[in-house]
Amino acid sequence: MELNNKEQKFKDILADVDFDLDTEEMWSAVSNDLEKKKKRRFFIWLFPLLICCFTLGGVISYNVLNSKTKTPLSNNTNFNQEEKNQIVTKEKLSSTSLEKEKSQEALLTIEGNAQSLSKSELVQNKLTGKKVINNYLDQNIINNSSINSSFGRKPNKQNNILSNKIILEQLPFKTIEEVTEKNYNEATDKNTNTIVSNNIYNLSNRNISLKNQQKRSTILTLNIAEPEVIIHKKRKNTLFITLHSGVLKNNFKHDIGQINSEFDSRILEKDSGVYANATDLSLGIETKKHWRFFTGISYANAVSRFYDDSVISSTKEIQGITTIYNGVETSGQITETTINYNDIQWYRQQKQLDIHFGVSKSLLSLGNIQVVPETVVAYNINSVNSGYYYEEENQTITKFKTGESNPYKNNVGLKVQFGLGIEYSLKSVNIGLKGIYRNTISHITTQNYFLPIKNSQYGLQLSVAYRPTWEKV
Amino acid sequence: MTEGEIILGCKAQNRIAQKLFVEEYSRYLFAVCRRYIYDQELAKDCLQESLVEILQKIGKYNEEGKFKSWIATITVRKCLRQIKAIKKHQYTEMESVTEPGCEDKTLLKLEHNDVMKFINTLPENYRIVINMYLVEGFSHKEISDELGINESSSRSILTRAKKMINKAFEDEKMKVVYKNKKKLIS
Repeated sequence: MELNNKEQKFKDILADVDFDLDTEEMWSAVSNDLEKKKKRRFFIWLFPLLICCFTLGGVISYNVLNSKTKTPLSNNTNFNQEEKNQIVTKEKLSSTSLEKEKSQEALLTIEGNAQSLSKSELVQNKLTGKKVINNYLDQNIINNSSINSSFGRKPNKQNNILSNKIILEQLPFKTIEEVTEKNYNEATDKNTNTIVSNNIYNLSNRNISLKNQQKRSTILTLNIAEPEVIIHKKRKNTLFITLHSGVLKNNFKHDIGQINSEFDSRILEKDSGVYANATDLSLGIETKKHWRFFTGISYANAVSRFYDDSVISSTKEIQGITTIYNGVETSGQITETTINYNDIQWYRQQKQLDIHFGVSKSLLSLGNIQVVPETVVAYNINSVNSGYYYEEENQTITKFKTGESNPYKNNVGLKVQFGLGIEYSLKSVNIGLKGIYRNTISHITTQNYFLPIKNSQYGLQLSVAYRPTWEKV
Repeated sequence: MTEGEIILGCKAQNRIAQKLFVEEYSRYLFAVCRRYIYDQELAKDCLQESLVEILQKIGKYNEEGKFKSWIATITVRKCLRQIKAIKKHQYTEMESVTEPGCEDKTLLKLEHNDVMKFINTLPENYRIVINMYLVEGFSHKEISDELGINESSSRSILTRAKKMINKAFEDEKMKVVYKNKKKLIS
């Protein structure tokens, strides 16, 4: 926009305007403020720091407690009868009949009563420096006594050959047909991590009388140089911490039916909800059946906007210039038009802090993706209001600041929330996107206010869940 | 100390540099505040808060633009927040805002005092838009963002404000004619 000379001169004068100021006084005030802000900054950081410390401490202590309850199986030779159920030992067969078959190098035997072994049980073994891992054992047990007989051993009721299926997710393995005595020995000698396994060990082919032949035995032998044990746990209750953050649109409804006066409700049409931030922090537990129970705190800013950009014009007649012509006085009239350009944009904010309790369940799993519906009940701890409210008598809107009297409740009570989220699972972190609808059960205004308002919010939140002990099965 | 040295010193939170900064720029920034806020004490409060904010944010100044413009922008924003905070009028009052009358303005001259007198009689929105657009060099987009109004509103306010300036500060020649007319009528 170009400026004419007058406007340019006006601008120059305005830009060069100067006023007296005591700079010494100003500096002392500024330096005091700077000191205060420095101190305040420390306290601002203190609170989030404490939250981080508590969270971290909780996670660590939870892990420590968890690890104490899971004593690793070791030195299984000293196990009692029950513990023996979780032991698989490797035994090299000396039977000549077996030696004929090069493919049958090793046989897993079980010390103890293996009948109680279940598929989901962890088999973790350390015997004579060797370990058997990653076994999910079938419940079909082959009594080893007959085998022992055929091997020329004394029948031992406690020695059973276990028909099992070996699940090796990542480690390379060879079938027994591929393994010769030679390479078995090589593998043993080299003390490598080679897994010698099979999924076919048909005892009937060996003329061995067995009680349960219907299942093929699976043999796993493993030499592991490192004393590390890969543990596959069965799924169990899991602690998690979730942070949701996103935007919610305020969706409120004026209860016009309760207005007893002649309040012009058309003014309410200029009032509408807008999007604002909402953040939840939850701590919860996920059960074996994928049910999640959680509790935490929620912060939401419910914002509405009064927007008026209407143009109001009014005209009136005013007296104009009076002219006298030939002694006759004529008073002139001027029509004065006043145009008001309304440009009003006020915001009403309700900053709400709630505690919530919720339940959700992973209903649908597609690989790492889960669909999780949830239901939450929240209770408002505190609401801080600022903005505007309507006045019945004068048909006006009054602005107010935080702390000033207003008709909005400081505690809006119970809320219910329904949500549906999609989550993507990583190793110990879930990330997700959730759509929610939150409804405040009672009115957000006090009882003596002439215009009750109901409030609800809907929107989207991103979530990050941390699961310290979570592992995929 | 040069401007660059003062900025560097303030970035390092050097007390002497901060004091020099306040001494060097506070008068300039006070003028900015006074253009937006008529009340002297409120303008001083605003200046104080602006100086604190500038000294805290000076680390973010990347020396790409003019330093004076940068500090003026921070001060203007602070003034706008201050104006919003002190504005507690009712809806009906906003409706009653009319364009100021021009009867007395014919006597104004394009001088410091008259210009300030004129600017202080303007409605708040007009004063803010004139200052932001003409003096600080904000675009209409920036003005609309800062004030939360439409870009078109900003344009129309400026157009009307310019008309008012042109009307209030009439040419000397015109004034004479008008005065003569007045005499004639009386």
